[in-house]
Order: sequence, then C-alpha cells, then structure tokens
Amino acid sequence: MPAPDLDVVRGTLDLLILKALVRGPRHGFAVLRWIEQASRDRLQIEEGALYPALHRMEQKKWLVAEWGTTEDNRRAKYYRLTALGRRHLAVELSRWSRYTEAVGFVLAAAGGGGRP
Amino acid sequence: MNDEIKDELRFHIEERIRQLVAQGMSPEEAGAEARRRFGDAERYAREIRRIERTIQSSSRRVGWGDSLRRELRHAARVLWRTPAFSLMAFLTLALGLAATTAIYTVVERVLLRPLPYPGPEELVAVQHPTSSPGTGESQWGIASVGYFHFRNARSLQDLGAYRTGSLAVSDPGRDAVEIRTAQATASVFTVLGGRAALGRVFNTEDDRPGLPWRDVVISYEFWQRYYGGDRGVIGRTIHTAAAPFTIIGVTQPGLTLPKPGPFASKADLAGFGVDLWLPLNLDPATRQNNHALYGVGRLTPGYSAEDAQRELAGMLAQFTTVYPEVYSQGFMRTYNFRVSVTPLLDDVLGSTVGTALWILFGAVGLVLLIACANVANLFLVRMEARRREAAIRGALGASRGRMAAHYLAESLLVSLAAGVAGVLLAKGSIAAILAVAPRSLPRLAGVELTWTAVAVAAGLSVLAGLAFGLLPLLRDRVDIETLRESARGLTTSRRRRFLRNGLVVSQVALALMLLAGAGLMIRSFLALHAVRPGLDPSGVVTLRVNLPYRTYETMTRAANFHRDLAERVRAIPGVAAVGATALLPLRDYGIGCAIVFRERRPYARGEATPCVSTVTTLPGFFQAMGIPVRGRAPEWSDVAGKTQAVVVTHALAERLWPGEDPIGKGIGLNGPDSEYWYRVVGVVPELRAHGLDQAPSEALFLPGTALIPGQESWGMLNYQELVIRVSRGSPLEVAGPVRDILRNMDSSVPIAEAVTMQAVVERSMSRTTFIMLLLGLAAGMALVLSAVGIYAVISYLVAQRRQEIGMRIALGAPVERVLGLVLGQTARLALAGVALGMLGVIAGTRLLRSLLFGVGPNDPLVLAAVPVVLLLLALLASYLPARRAAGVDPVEVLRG
Repeated sequence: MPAPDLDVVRGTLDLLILKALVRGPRHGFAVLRWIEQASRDRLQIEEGALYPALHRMEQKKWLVAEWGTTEDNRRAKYYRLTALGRRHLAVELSRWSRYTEAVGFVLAAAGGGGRP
Repeated sequence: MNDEIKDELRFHIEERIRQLVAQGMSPEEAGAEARRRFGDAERYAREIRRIERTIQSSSRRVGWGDSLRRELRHAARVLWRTPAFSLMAFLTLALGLAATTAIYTVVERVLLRPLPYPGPEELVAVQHPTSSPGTGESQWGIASVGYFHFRNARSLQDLGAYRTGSLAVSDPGRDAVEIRTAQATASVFTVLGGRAALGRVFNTEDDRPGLPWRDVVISYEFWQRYYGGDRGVIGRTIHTAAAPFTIIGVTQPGLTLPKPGPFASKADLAGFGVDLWLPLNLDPATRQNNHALYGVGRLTPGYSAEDAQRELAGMLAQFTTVYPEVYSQGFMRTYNFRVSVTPLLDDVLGSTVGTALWILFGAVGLVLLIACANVANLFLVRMEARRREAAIRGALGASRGRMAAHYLAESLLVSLAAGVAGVLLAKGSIAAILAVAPRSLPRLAGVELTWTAVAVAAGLSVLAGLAFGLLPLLRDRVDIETLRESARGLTTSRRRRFLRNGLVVSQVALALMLLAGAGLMIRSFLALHAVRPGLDPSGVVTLRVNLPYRTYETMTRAANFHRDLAERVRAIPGVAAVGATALLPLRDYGIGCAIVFRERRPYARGEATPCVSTVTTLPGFFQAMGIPVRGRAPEWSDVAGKTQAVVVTHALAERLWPGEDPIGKGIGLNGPDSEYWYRVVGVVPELRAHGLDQAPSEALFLPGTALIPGQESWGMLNYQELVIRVSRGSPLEVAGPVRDILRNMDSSVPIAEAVTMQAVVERSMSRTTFIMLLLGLAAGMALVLSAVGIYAVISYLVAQRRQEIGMRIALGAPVERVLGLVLGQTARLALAGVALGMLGVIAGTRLLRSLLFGVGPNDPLVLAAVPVVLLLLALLASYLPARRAAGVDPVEVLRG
C-alpha cells in the first residue's frame, strides 16, 4: 500500500463525495473507501472530516440521508444524490476541468521560472 | 438526534476496525489505528450538531427518530432479509399461541367462569346417591318429603326444587310448537336470584299446594321469540297441551336452570333454557318415594358444602322413624340411600368434563412449550451467527442496554406478529372446536374469544419476545475474545451446547407424551367403534311426536293416532319400516329405572332387585331400528287385543331366569304379589342402549297398552320418538312428507326436528371423538414442531463441524461413516428425549384413565409404538443435514 501523500485540496472534498455517490446510495465509510480505491490510496483525508461535509451537503439539499441496513444487517446511514446534487456535480466537474486545464497551461508555459 | 450522529460515526470506526482485523491486525491495534485515522470524533460530532441545528431550524424537521420506532424499523428490515428464519419463528409461535388461546377460551368458559347467578359460590346441588348390586351407583333427585324436611337445615338459607319437561303450545292461528318447561318451587327464584323483567315471578302464594294450574311465568327469551317482546303480554292466555295458562310475568334475560331435572334426556345436558315456568305446588302431606326433583340450595354464610352435607345426612338418618311408610329400613339398605350436597358448579360439570378439559389444556400448553423451545433454538442459532458483530459492537463500547434493545426489538416484533396471527387463528379454531364438541359438554353455548383470552395471548407473546430477546445476552458475555476466533473455527462452549441439546431433548420428550396420549385416545375411539350396538342406525331417522294430553288423554287414543300415522308414513315411497319408542337408544337410556318382578318367583332376601329401563314402544320399532328379536315382536293386534306381549333383552333375561328360555315367562312392575303380568314373547340378543362403553342393557320393552285397568291415562304414549327406516336415499328426505302428514292429521301437534339415528350414535361417542381429535391435533403439531427443531439443530451442528467432517473425508472416511456420525448424534439426543418422555408417559397417562375405553393407561402397544415413531422422526429430520455432511467437499473445506 503506497503511503497516502496528498492532502485533499480544500473545497474539492465536496466534489469527491458527489462523484462517489453517482452510482447510487452509500454510507460514509463506503464513500471513503471508494475515494481511497479510486485514488489508488493516494489521497489522504482525515476520515472524520467526511461527516461534517456530508451533513453540510445534506443541508444544501444536494444529498438526502436515510437510515438503512448493510448486507450483514447492521444499521448505517446512507446518502443519496438528489437531482439538485447531480446538477451541482455537473457544474463543478466542468469548472474543475477548466480550472485544472488552466493551471496546467500555466505550469507548462515555457520561459517561466527555472528549467524543469 | 445526538445518538444518531454518534451511531453514524461509530459505524464508520467499526467498519474500519473490521477491515483492519480482516487484514490481520489485532483488535486492540485495529481500534487504535481506526481512531487515529478518524481524528477527533468528539469535535466532528459537535460540528455536525451545529449543522443539524441549522437544518432543523430552517426546515422544522421533527425528530421522529425516537429510539423505539427506529429500532423496530431496523428490526423489521433485518427480519425481512432473513425470510426463512422469520417465517419459521412466526408460524411456529402463531400456531402454538392459537391452539393455547382457543383451548384456554373453552376451558375458561366451561370450567373457570362462575355460574351466572349472584353469589354463585354459595349454591349447592342436593341429591340422593344410591347404589344397589344390580344397578351400580346412580344419582337420584329429591322427593317432596326431603324438600320440606331439608328446608329446615341451618346450613341452608333456602332450598329450591324443580323438574323440567316439554309441552306443546298451540295458540289459535299459529303453528303448534314444542316448548321447554320447568315446574319449580317459588324458592328456586330466591335461591338462584331470579327476578322479573315484567310482571312478577312466583311467590309462596303461587306455590301453595292444591292450587289449580293457572298462572305461569315466561322467560325473557321466549317472550322475545314468541311474543316479539310485546309489553301487553301480562294477563294473556297461552294455550298449552296441558291447560290454558295466564301469563303473570317475564323473567330477567338469561335466567336459565343450572341443569335439566333428574329425568331429562342426555341431549339436554348442555344447560337448560326454560321457556315456560310453572309452579310446582308441592304438598307436605304427599308422602311419595318419588325422586324426580332437582334440589338446588343456597348455603347460609359461614357454612360449607361439607357442613351442609353433614347436617343433611343427620336429618336423613331420622327419615326411617319420621316417614317409615315412605323410607323403610329395607329401602334404605337395598339402595344404600344417601344424601349429597355438592357445590353446584361441580355437579353441573360432572366428573369427567373437568378432567378432559384440563388434559386438553395441558396438551396445548405442552405444544406451546415445544413451539417456544423451537423459536428459542432458532434465535440461539441466529445469535451464534452474529456473535462477531455483537463482539465488535461491544468492543466499541455499544452498551449492553443498547444491544439488548436491538435484539428485543427483533424478537418482540416476531412474537407480537405471531400473537396477532394466533388470536385470529384462535377465533377460527374455536368455531372448529365447537363443531366437534360433544353436545353434552355443559356451558359451551355461545363460546367466543374473550378479552381475557386475547390478553393471555398478548401476555404470552410479549413474554416469549422478552425471553428470546434476552437469551443471547444472558447466555454469554460477549467479549473481545470472540473477535480472535476465526470465522471457521468457531467452537461452541459446553454450556451453549448443553442448552441447545436440552431444548431438543425436552421437545422430543414432550412430543412423546402427547403422542402417547393421542395414541391411547385413538385406541379408545377404535375400540368404541368396534362395539356392536345391537341396532342398525343406517337409513334411520327419528322425529319426536308430542301428543297434547287434552286431546289424547288415554293410551288407546294415542295408540290409535300412532297406528294411523304409521300406516300413512309407510305409504311414503322408500319407507321400509315405521315404529315408535319412548326412549331413543344411546341418548335417553339410563335416566331412571323401574323395579321389575317375575311371576311366581319373588326375590329372595338379599337378592338384588333389578331396576331396569322400561321402554314403551309401538309395533314396528324393532324392525325400524334394526334390532333383531328372537321369538316375535309385538304387532298392532297385540296392542288392540291387549295381549300384554313384551320383549326383554338377553341381559335382563339372564338376570331374571339364568339359563332358562325367557319366552312365555311372566314379568311385572307392580310388586311380587300382583295379579297383572306381562308375557315375554321375544328376546333381543344384545343391545347397548345405555352407551357403547356400557355393559349390554337390561331393558323391558312394554307395549302401548295399559297393564292395569284404570291406568289408561298414564300418558306413556304422548311422548314418542317416531322411528322410520328408509330403503333408499337419505333418511332425512322423508322428514318433510312426515311433517305434512302430521300437520294434516292434527295441527296442534308441534312440528318436530328430525334427527338421524346415525347422528345419535355418533353423538354418543362425541366425548371420545372430541378428545381424540384435539389430542391428535396437539400431538401432530408437536411432531411437526419437533421435527423442525431437530432439523434446525442438526443442520447447525453439521455446518459447525464442516471442517472436521471434511478432514475425515480427506483421510478416507467412507460416506456411511459420516452419515453415521450425524445420525448417531441425533439418535443420542432423541434417545435421551424418549427416555425422559417415557417417564412422563408412565406418570401422566394415568390422568387419562377415566376417559379411556377398552385400553389401559399403560397399553403395551402404545408404549412400544410411540418411542419408535419419535426415533424414526428424529432420524428422518436429521437425514437431510446428514446427506449434506456426507457431501462436503474436502478440498474446498480444507483450502477455504
């Protein structure tokens, strides 16, 4: 297991959560595991921080929460993407790709600082 | 709210620990690591709480998540996911509860509920037990002498006396009907606390001796039924076959007599609703040895039934000196004439009803126990599978209370659902029980599910729910050790194994006891069916012909009516034979007897004087009833010519003239010195008219003519059961034409109900049938439940030992060995259960003794067959799991 070395950039946690929930409802731990696996264990999140974020997004009506049962019959709180959340994700995704593209251009521009 | 946040965060940490433990970390390390990765849970919780508060204030979401409802919802979801478990537990419990509730309802109604009179515990029955060598023990009623004498007893506040009967009512312009009557002393009303709803009931003035029959009281029910509740009924005339009466009052609703009078038909034992009350007008000057009154008394406060019994016995001892002309020393000795004072309820119930019902109640109680054992086992196995989960939750600090709440919610949900289904099922079962219940079972009318029974069912289901829910918590301390055990290597602790095996063993034992009881009842039932009654009931229908006394005041008149009637009925197509009798075999015999004498051979001193059933029959009876007669049966020419030809049963002939041919012998009812003797012309080889479980009847069949000149108006022919045999079709089909004939002949003769003789025979066995059916049902359920229980436990054990079994197979153990291993384990459990159960059987079946016929409580056939059945059942139930064990793939298991 490679050591997680990247802190999640502030503001991007919401995006990751929304993305994790696209495939259907998940509980908090499953969201976290998905992010871990999708990032090849490179992104590091203090796990507890996930929950204030989830609740805030619920408050914004991007998500709805519901108590349910896991496959081995334990009680867990599941989060589901709302239509509003889906729209927000689409907006954020395009904004994110424009942002990274822009940052990429800047960093790749020749004649900047020192030689790579 | 707060809890939900904690739950959510805790779930996360729990999941992380599981994952880390699965990766090989020790639980302690995993716990520390999970907490480190999570960060400061307290701080996050506070932050979330802040966010939640803004949500609540903004959208006013009400916190519906109170913990009970949440747990129940969760439990429902969990149960829904394991339908096999849930359904099995639910059905098992529902069936057990339904059976218990239904039988409890019947027991409560018949045995426990007090009699419907004020101060019911003070009421007693006063009767005369008698016995003589020939007739055995029998209960006689009281006579007017005793009534007046015993009324002075200090231990009795008052004593009432009554007899019951029936009368034809034919008011102008209405169909004639037969109604039920009671002739009662005025004191019956005071003793039973009966009041008038309208007008008045009898007082001592109405009850004076010598008054002509005039004033009557009608019951509330008859008032409603016959007069439509017309308040102007007081003072109206009712035209009965005995006389026109004036109605002076209507009783309160629901006033019934505790029991029909001493000489009522067995068909009436279910309780006696009176239509018309007549005064008894007993005369203290009348000194007759005629014990036809039922005595009902009310104890003086402070006195018990035993006190009254002692006092009345003392009074009876004086009878031979005070009333020597009625109660001679010889009479007292011959009949062993005593007096008994018994609590009224005991007398109403009789001796076997209580036994039978308590046994049935015990039986369903056992079924409920088996059902509970089964469900307990199911829950145990389920908890076993969830031990790791419980351990993790425990390790994370989930309180025992919290876990208890969770398990309780699950078990309560199952139990309560089963309770509801059980009550509904019980409602149906009661109807089914009533359908098969014997008519002679007293106080059964109108039984329905009561709130008490529902409360009992609810209580039982809650109790079961609590017990099953707390089982896993009481059973073992959940600790971190559990986490160390690998999923496959679960070993079962000795205590747990003992508990589970104990449940199986006790199930087998209980089922064995029930099966033995049912087996004995089945044997009794078969023995009863094998008895030949000496008559042929198939194709026979009977109808009561009640001829009003006023029109048919002599035997000749009544006989002429019957002769005419018989001729017309025989003309109906399909009718093979017609006759009539005063008493129906297997229903009316045994309610009174008369002493018979033989011509020219008086009884020696000390010789038993036979008191036998004397039955007035009309020609055609033996042929219609299918009773063979040696010699000849009386004809109409005998009736017309007054030849005094009679028929006796072989049993009576053997008592009177042992070893001799009775035909031609003289027999009479008027003492040894009489000049009037009947002539025996025929003998019935064998007739069990008193009951299939009784000895062959000693009976004298009298012709429809008077023996003594001037005794013409005996009225013996005014109540006759018309007996019709048909050669084809259903016997009930002739009832319609017969009623038309009766209506045409005399419209004042009440329209009677037709009963097939087959039904009479079956009803005479109904007690045995009833107990057999219910015990059989209980035993059947016990067997099914035990089989399920054994199957579940053995399946679980096989699953547990998979690895070991796989190893054995890998090491070359043949399939038979593996099968033997599992079956052997079952056999050990079953044998233990059988041994335990047999002890119970030997101790318990004695209770059944009074209900058995033709089989002893320790019948070797039953004792031998029952263990075999249970052992086979156990092996059968474990065969599937055993096959599964033999089919274990060693490679898969050992690699897994």
